[in-house]
Amino acid sequence: MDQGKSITLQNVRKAWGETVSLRGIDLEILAGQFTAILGPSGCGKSTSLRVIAGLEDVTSGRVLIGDQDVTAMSPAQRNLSMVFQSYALFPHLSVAENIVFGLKVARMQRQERLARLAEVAELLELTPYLDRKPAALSGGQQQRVALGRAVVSRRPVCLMDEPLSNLDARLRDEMRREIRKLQQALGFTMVYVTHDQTEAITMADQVVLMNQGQIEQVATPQQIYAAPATPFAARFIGTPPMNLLPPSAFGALLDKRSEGVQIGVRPEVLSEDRHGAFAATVRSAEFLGADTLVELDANGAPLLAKLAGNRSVLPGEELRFSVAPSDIHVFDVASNGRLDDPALVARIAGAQA
Amino acid sequence: MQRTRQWIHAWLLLLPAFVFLLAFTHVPAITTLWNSFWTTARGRRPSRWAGLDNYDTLIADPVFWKVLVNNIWFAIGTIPTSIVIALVMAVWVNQKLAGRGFVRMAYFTPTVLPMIAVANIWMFFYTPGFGLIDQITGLFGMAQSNILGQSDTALVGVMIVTIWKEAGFFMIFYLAALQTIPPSLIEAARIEGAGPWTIFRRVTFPLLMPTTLFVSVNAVVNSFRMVDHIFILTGGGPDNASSLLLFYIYEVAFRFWDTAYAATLTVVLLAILAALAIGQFFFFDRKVHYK
Ligand SMILES: Nc1ncnc2c1ncn2[C@@H]1O[C@H](COP(=O)(O)OP(=O)(O)O)[C@@H](O)[C@H]1O
Ligand SMILES: [Mg+2]
Repeated sequence: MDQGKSITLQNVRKAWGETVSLRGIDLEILAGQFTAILGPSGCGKSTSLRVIAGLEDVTSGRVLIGDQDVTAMSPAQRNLSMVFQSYALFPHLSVAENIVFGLKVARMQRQERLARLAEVAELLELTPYLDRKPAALSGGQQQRVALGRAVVSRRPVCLMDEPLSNLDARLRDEMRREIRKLQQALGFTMVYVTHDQTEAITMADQVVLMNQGQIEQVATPQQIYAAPATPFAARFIGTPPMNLLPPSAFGALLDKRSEGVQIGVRPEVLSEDRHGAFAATVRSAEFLGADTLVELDANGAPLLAKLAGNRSVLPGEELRFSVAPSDIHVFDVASNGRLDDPALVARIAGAQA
Repeated sequence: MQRTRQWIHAWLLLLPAFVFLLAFTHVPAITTLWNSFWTTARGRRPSRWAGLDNYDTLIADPVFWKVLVNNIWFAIGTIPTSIVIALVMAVWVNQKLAGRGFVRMAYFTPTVLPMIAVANIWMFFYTPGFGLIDQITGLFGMAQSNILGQSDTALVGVMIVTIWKEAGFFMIFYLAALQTIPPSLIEAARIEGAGPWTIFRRVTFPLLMPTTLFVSVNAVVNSFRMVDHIFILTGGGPDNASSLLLFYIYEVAFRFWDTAYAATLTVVLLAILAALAIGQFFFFDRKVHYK
């Protein structure tokens, strides 16, 4: 088994005439790790993946796989595999022929080819379907064939572009675990594109968060959740999304000195505390079973809070909250970055201060 | 009750198309078959039952065998060549090249032209002494040629014109089919390490098989059906060297006015076409992947 190889993008730009899809990407994808490229639709995830694959040329910048500069190489020379969103199975070939397509192109000996096929078919539970055409398979089975074709060649890098988006929710959960298991068992470098934060957070060792052709943050799922680097990262990860409040929302707690910042608090970390420093008025409440989602008004700014259990609140009621200092995120509006301001955090946390 | 009504509706809807098909295809075909068993009426001599006499005449007719063999050579010479050229042109103009629209249109032009016009254009190439071919070869001091006037080259001359006309037509079908192949299939093949030739051989060409079947059935039928250009180019001559089956049928029917024998020849033509079309479907069926 080839060990995974690292992938490096150096100041990669990609433009189609006026449309700029990648605005200077610098990225280090670690060898043998599961990296998810996450972002909203149209942010350039697929373009990044296709640039790595060699299906698109870069406008400027360099792409390295391992220590090798592959910027000018064809997809075939880059020695990687790819799973497409549409699966891209060859409709005229049987499942077995689809899986060994690459091995045949590489003129592998028939015996070894059949051994590899049997092994992969066993691994992905495709053995009963080897003689069928893709059209005679369910969506989940087609997905497995695409996975089989990607892993049978044992290439060091595997790229996937939203591979689960055509499956129903139940199958998606199942395949998510299966893909993760496969990657860990085989040890290749995985670059996985998705717009679904759940997929990225549950599967990846490292998440690359993209927005409008730029990278917002590269970190582990835990780090992105605990310390988002930008307001965008703060809102994109977590459901319901983080509250981003102007200083005025905290009334007398903050003064003029703290203009030009945004304060982020996740709905699930707001805990009710009669002596809390932070007050807001209830607008409406929604009972969700395990917890209650409360919409509030904090000095004119909308605020969401997720309260444990069936806490019945009435519109117009005033609630007071305390927040742990580690759960308060401060962002600088001008630089669009994270601020470290313990004094400001302490004033909001209030009760503990 | 409900079912009967549905049947009646279905038949009523089918009726107009059915009437025209019967009137212009099936009735004439059966009439032709019937006529082939009678003699041609001449002057005061009425037509009478001839049994298989016309077919005996046909088997003994050297011209019939000559045009049949001509037609087979014509088919062999034009069909594969025009299909291959069509495929190559389609793959070529399906790429991202500058002036793609212009090239497509240029390749398609021969198809839009009526066969008579095409033949006239090629007369201008072929004319001995003054034609384009002779003017060019003349520059190199070569002797005059008379491609259409010599029995060993006349059929080849006719075949080249046919290929020129047919290839552009078939290209359009291939082009349409190429555009239905998802680009991700080609990309997947590229990632798997396949070069352009392997992609063509293992992905593109197999996916074009239904088109190839359609085009080749058309080509076969056309090779027995297209005779317009022979009127202009050679008139079937010299000495029937470039005459084809349908052209011979025309001559028998409307020059020699032997309608019964023409009917007999037509029955043979029909039988050949039916056999070829059915045979092709069976031959290709196992190799064609339909979506
Ligand atoms: N072939 C193309 N030609 C022009 N613009 C393109 C092309 N492919 C992608 N784009 C543009 O690049 C941007 C990023 O696209 P993409 O990488 O596909 O986004 P996503 O993150 O949804 O995968 C989009 O604005 C898209 O319109
Ligand atoms: Mg995409």
